[in-house]
Amino acid sequence: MKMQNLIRSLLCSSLMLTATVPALADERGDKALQELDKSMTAAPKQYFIFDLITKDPGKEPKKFTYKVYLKGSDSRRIEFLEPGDQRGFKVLLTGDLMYTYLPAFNKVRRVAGHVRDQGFMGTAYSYDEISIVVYSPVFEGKFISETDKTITVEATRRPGKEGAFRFPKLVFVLDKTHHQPLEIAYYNEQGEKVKTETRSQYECKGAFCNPKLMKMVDHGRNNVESLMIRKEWIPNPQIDEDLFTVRSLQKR
Amino acid sequence: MSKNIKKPRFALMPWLAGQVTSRGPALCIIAAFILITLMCAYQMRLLKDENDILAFLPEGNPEVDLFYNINNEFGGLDMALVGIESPDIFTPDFLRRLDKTSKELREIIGLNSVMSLSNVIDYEADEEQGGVTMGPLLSSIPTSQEEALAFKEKALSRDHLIGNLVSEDGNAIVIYCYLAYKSDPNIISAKIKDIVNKNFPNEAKYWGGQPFISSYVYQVTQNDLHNLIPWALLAIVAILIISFRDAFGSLLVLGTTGMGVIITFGLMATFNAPYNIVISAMPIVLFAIGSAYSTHFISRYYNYVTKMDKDAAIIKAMKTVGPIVIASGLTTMVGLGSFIFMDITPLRSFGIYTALGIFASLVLSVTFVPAVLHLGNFRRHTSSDSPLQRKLMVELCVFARRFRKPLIATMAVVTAVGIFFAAKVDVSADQSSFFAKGSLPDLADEFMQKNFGGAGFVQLLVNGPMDDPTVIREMRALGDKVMEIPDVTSAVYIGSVLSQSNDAMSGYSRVPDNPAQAKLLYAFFQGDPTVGQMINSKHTRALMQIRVQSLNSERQNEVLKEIEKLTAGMNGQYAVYKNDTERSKSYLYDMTAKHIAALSREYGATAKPLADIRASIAAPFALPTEKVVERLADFMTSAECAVPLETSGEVNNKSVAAVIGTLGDTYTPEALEAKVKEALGEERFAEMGEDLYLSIETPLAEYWRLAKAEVVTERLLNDKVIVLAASAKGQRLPKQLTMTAMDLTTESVLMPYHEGDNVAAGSLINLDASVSGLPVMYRGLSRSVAANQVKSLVFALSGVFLILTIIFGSFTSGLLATFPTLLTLLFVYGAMGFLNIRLDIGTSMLASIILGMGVDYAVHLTAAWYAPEKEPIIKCAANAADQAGPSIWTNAIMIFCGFFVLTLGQAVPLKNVGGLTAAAMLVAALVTFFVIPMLSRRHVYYEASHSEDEALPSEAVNNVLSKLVENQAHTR
Repeated sequence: MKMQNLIRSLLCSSLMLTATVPALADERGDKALQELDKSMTAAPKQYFIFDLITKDPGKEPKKFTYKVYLKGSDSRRIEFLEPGDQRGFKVLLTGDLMYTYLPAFNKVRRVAGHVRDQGFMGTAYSYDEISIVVYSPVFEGKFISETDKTITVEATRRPGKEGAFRFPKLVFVLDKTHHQPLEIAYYNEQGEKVKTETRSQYECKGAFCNPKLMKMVDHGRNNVESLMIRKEWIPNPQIDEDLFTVRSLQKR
Repeated sequence: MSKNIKKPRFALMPWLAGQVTSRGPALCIIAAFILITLMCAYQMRLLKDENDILAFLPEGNPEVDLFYNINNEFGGLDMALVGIESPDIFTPDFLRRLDKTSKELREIIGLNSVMSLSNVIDYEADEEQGGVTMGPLLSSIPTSQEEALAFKEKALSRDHLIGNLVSEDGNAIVIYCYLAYKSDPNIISAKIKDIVNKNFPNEAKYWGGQPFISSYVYQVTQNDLHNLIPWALLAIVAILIISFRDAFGSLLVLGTTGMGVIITFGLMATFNAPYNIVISAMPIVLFAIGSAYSTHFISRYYNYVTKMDKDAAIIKAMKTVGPIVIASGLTTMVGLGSFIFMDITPLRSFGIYTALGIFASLVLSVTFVPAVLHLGNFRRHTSSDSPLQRKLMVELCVFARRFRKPLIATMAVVTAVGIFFAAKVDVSADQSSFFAKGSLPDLADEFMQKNFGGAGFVQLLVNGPMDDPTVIREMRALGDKVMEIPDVTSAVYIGSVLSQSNDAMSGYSRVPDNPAQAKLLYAFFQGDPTVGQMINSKHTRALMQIRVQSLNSERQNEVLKEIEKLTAGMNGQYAVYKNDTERSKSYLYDMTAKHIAALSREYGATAKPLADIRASIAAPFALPTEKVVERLADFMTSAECAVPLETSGEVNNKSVAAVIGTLGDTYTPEALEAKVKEALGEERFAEMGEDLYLSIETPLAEYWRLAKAEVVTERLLNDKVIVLAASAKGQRLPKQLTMTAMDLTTESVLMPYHEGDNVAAGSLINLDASVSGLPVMYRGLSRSVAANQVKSLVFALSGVFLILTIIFGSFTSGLLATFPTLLTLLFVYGAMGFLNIRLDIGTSMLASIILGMGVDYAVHLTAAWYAPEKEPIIKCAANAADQAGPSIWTNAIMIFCGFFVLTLGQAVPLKNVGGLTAAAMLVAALVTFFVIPMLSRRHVYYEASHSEDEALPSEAVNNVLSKLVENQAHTR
């Protein structure tokens, strides 16, 4: 074997070894995650209307329309507008507690505890992925690479946080301008990429930026695809505090 | 010569002989075939592998189509079941491993979801703060045996889990794995097995469900073919070389047959025909049959070339043996081509392409082989003659001719016995058509039978608006009736899921009251494959999964008929009526009483006759106001109440509840508002009245319904109309009775529509139910198999008879040559009847294969039948045996060995087909050697095969005949 080939082989082996070693957190990666969190929670309150369309191979596409009120990182209220069967269905999430108002039953139901890693109403999203707002308390970051416009960070779940998020590793491609993700790849324990989320068509209002289009593809389920299209967005809206109470849920 | 004998009809042969003995055309023929073979070999890279066992389902069969469509729509074919049996299930270690396994399984790409005892979602009422606590049943791994036992108690108190996820005795569990759309069952099954085996190395494990069965059948068959085909081919090659005793001749035969195989696979790839487990056996068939054509031709050439120059020998061989080889090839092609009438695609594909392979071998044997012989100078240096073998053949035929009368009588008896046993052949396909007793899928079946009430599912498809709870209740009524059929162990339908979710969302474990509630509850299950197995995405069709004990097919069909009878009774036009007439109330009492009786049976209680139950639930009672007040008071302090009340003070929860309780069970919204105002006082009412009113409005109405239902239950129990079983399950019956009794106060009821009834617009509903499932699918499959058998056999027999009539120039001669194969078929069917081998997908291929292959022997023996007119016919028998006997027996033994090797594997279809084909070929040869001499009445049947030089008797013929003459003289 020629010396050049030998060196090339050794280099390749070293690269493969590097690839199998778990990424170690670094300052730059952690900082990128913190900036992401800061950007995600920049607006103390937000209001959205989304269309959520799911394309499951072999089935007809499903569409939901719902509005979301956000307050801080742990209070949110969701109201379903479409389809008609679910119109008026409201959910109030505060920490680990969930209150639902089911219009057909005309009553509020308190649901303590929930199953975070299950699929969310047949979509490609799970409750985990839909509800996580800040990443750095759960993940530690490692800088991977960067371009003029993006930075790639590998986020590894912190020890002891296994119950907080299903996937042990995420890889973010973050936009350097507004510190928000353009792509998030979700990896399972075996290191296989099982989901890919893309966020695009960012729009900025003042200091707050938000994507208009979010797409999640679940590779494990034969590429079930959910498309979240933002129809309305108001950062820091005038929302009554009462909106996040049980008594407001039952108001017709 | 007989006047009936026609001149040779194959004018093509002299022309072809002329071409192959000219250098230019011969070279072109060789080059063309080598080029075609190379192109086909290149094409073979495109051959697609098909490993889906479902491809073997017949097309256009209504029962099979229904089964396939249902399971496609509801995802039943995508469910893999892992059973684990252990006395230690409820120990911390086992539960930890189960939790780990469930999590690891979930990570498999291609698995949609996984459900086990560790991750199934559980709901529990929060007694302290109100509402419900939701989470995995196994919320945390037990750290002590006490905690593990507490979990056991919790798990075994969930009726919907017992018999589905865990066995009643707690010694067996099932993990359900739902495959994603179009996932590869073989890959996913292997991954599931790896994970489960790694985590449960010492426990007994069982692998059930379509993905495992499919992958088992595919792998076992592939393994068998992989391991056995080389041996089968080796046996064929060895016999060929031994019988031929010539390296070049053997090489030419094998090379030609190999080219035929490559051309066939190349054509398959070109026409996008997939390679499957049946096609895997094609090389054996082609080598066993296809090699015979070249063998016959080369043998005859070797005989002639000792007496003349090579081109003359080639021309003569082509003229004499060519037409017979072609006729023989055509009959085989017709036999295999008859598969075109089968409605099972892989079998049809096997028939068509094997027939094409035969055609390729046939064409090569009359073009390529003589061309090669022309270009070379090949002569056999060692004789292939075996004097003993020839003598035996000749003696056999002479014996059959001499004793034809007693032998005809014996044949008649054997035929009668054959018909008797053939009539007993069972035409019923079931899972044993695919796997054997003791195989992994069979063990999984036994496991399900022992621990989960059976593995056989009958599916009852109901078309109707499933958003309407009145329709769900009608399904429940049908399920109750089905459960009365002996051997039915469970009937699971969407109603149970709706009840559970209703329990979680409203606190009542019963089918909700109105369509709006049902629609909302369904929304929570979108994308859940467990629910997807019970209802379609548009909620227009629902499936009831009826579990039946594993039974013999006869009893299974009886159960099926009973279910079909009940189903037919359900079909018709219904209407949703308001529950405000005597008729509707009476209908509801009947329906509720029947369900209470069904629940009593399910929970092991003793119940009085239906009339007593009905009378008890219909009797009037005093309003249970106290209970309502108590519940309302509790609610008003819970977290679900928008304005929780104090438990003390002048105005407290109890005082408010007491005032509201005075309203009774019938009130208007205004009356309730007024009572709230009265209970709270003006000042408080202004502050919180509206919120309290909104909070209690629905719960109050529900408490009245609940309390009244509880009164009904108490009376049933107190009056001993129902006596509870002592078991833990038995003690859970009262709650179920109460939930059922709440139906008595529903607003609407579904009843058969009577012409002229005054019902609201849009309330008419058509219900249409049909029965499917594996037993129905197998019934449809059996019908298809029987129809395929008749169609293909009629075509093959007619085709073979026509060809033989043409080649031998007369109807009776055609019949004579066909007759031995008919008797062989009778033998095969008789053997199947005697040995209880069913006519199924695999064995239904036999008749046409055997017909196509076996008729060759009769063709060759009949064509070789010859003696001058002045000689006795017995000499024809001796000459025919002498000339055709060795090659017939060589071929029969070759096919026997080739197919017998297949019986040494594990795959049931291969074993049956291999064993019966092997035996049938020996029988076909033997029967030919008896029947042709017994029934022949002429001196020659095919003139072109014979010439003066061949008329000289061989040594074997002389020996046998002179010995016969001596014996006869001695006897005189």
